[in-house]
Amino acid sequence: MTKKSEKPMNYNLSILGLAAIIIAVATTSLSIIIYHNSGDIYLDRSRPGFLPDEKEAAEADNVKKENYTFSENADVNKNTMEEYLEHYQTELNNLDKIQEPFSKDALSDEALGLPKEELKDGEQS
Amino acid sequence: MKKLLVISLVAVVLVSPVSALSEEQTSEISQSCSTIKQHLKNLQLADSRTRSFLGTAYQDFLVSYITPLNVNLVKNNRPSTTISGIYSDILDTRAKFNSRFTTYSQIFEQLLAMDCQKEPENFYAKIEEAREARGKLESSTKKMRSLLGNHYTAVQKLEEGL
Repeated sequence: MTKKSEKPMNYNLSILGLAAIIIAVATTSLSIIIYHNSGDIYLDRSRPGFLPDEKEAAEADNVKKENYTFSENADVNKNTMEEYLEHYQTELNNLDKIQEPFSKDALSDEALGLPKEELKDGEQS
Repeated sequence: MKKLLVISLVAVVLVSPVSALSEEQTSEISQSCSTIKQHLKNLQLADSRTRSFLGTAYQDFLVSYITPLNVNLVKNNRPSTTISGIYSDILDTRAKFNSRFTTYSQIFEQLLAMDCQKEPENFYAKIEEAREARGKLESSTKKMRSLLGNHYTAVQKLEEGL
């Protein structure tokens, strides 16, 4: 092969490599933007610092999980409905284990250790 | 020229932040910045766990109980307007819960990124914004719980009629 023909080949290869890198960076950036803006990032518990710890894993084991699914083809009668309600109630009881989820108290001035705002004259707490 | 001066003055007054914090609070925020931030990070972690738990629970209710029952009732020519009405309310509320959590989390991330030592007033304003978003999120969880309870009552009535 002559030197003249090698040059265009090396040049094309470099262009191809550069284009591949640009496309990879662009698509990765786009997917991260979508991941962030869609809110999926806030559901991702595999992020550093958000992994379930041992205590949480132990608590999860203690929660009685209902291995029950109502069938779309089941006969709707007193027995099946009683069973449905029994399992449903257990699930409700599990749900109620979290008391006052996202309560505003967690972000109150007291919770953050801030002095309370002084009330103006005539205002009640 | 006079008009321009008046407009500029009005603009400056409107744009300049009105401090809602007392000096004591501003100083407290600046001094306890790292403690406050740590508390917020712990809260963020706790919220993530709660969200995960609630999301899974709501999904289980829909997949294992509510949706199959609704489909079953329609298939067997036993449609119940009450049960199907509650079902669509649950779907709407769940969607609102998801979107409100995203909004709240975005505000919270912005809050954590702020420097409370240098900008205590802006930091507190962001806390207020986060409180409001959290309040909306809380109302979604309460509504969801109420609807799930209504579904139970409606199914009980259905069972009594069998």
